Amino acid sequence: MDKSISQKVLEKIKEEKIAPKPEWRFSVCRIFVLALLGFFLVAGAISLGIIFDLFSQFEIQRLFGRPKGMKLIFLSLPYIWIVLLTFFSFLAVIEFIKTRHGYKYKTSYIILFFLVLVLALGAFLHVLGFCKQLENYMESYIPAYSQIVRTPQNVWFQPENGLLSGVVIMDDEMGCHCLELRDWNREVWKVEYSGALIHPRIKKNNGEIIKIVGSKKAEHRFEAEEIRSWVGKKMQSIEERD
Amino acid sequence: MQNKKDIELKSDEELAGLISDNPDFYYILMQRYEEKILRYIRRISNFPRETIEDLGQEIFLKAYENINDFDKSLKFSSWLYRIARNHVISHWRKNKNDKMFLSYDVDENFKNMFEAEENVVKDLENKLTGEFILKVLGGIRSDYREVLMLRFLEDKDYEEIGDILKKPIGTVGTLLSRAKKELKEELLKNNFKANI
Repeated sequence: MDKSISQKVLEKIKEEKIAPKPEWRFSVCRIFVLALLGFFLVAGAISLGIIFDLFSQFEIQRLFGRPKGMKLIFLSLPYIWIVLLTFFSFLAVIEFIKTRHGYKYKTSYIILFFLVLVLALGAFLHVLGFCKQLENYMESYIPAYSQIVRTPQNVWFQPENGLLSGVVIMDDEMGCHCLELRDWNREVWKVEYSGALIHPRIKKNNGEIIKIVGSKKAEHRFEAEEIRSWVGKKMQSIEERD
Repeated sequence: MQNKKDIELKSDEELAGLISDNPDFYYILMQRYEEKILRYIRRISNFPRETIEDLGQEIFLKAYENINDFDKSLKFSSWLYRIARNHVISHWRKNKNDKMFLSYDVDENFKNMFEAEENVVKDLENKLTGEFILKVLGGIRSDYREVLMLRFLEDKDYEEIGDILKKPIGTVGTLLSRAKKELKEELLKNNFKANI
């Protein structure tokens, strides 16, 4: 009489002394998936924190309403961080689905949940100033970083588009309502500011870093419409705290 | 020895917890599921009998080796069906030349499935042949066919189907409702008149 499948399998188990895989192996796999999920979540949050950080340094709201403002904003977006944010968030969602009970939830709910989580964690890291420190570190120690990412210096140094920034080296020496500014390429600009709105914090002292909205009048000549401190209000409060 | 009767009264999940210590408990579980799993493999693959038996053995062996990964929040049957389904799919992927021909033996469950479409199907008894079932189910999308089979032929509830296919319950409901709609259309296409 033919043996049943159950009998054949039991015989094979006994003859070949097959044993179930130990529980710790499955636990290690599950912990690995959870660790990856945590890593992707934190990496996504850091990416978002850096985006917040860059935006607050750009003072992107100042670019709205300006001629070519939308183009400037579009060109200023930190694409590399946006790509990394999307990539890590996507991987976090995938890892969550791979967890033991991840499949029980609708993908749209999981995506929404992780968006909120990454947003909250990213905002928290931004407020703590962690992302700014990380970004400063990358700018200092990774030479290619400022070429890959549109740093605030890049964004606020587009004279043709009405944005200029740099260090004040001389102010109103001849009573001309103008100052001299050294830009990030060490070129010197004469900036006329008689009709400009000047932020109260601006002292125009030598060595002060400022950013200017206005228009380029000639080679190395610029007319200011608004002069702002290099460090935005939010960033200043973080720097003061640091 | 623990009374044979006591052991046989234990639930699948209780037995699954005892297998690591004694493979004989697994034999009881295999006996409970042998027929169901072989029938399930046949329904989703229709491989030849020998292949189905080989796959059955591999599935039971795989389940035994991975018994410590059994999630006690699931039904044992859902976990075993999931392993069976994945194993059949991976076998089919490795042996794409072994075509999966659909064919069905008529049984009472098919009648239940078709009758679930309450507005369709009158003289079902006369028409319910293997050829007819093949024609109707063959015209349905494979994921719809799979969910219909699990619901009506394997008699699984939404939660179990979700656990087997690794899909949320809401998605199972949507799939099932679309599958029933498509089944109805196929039945009408095959000359079943509305039973109104």
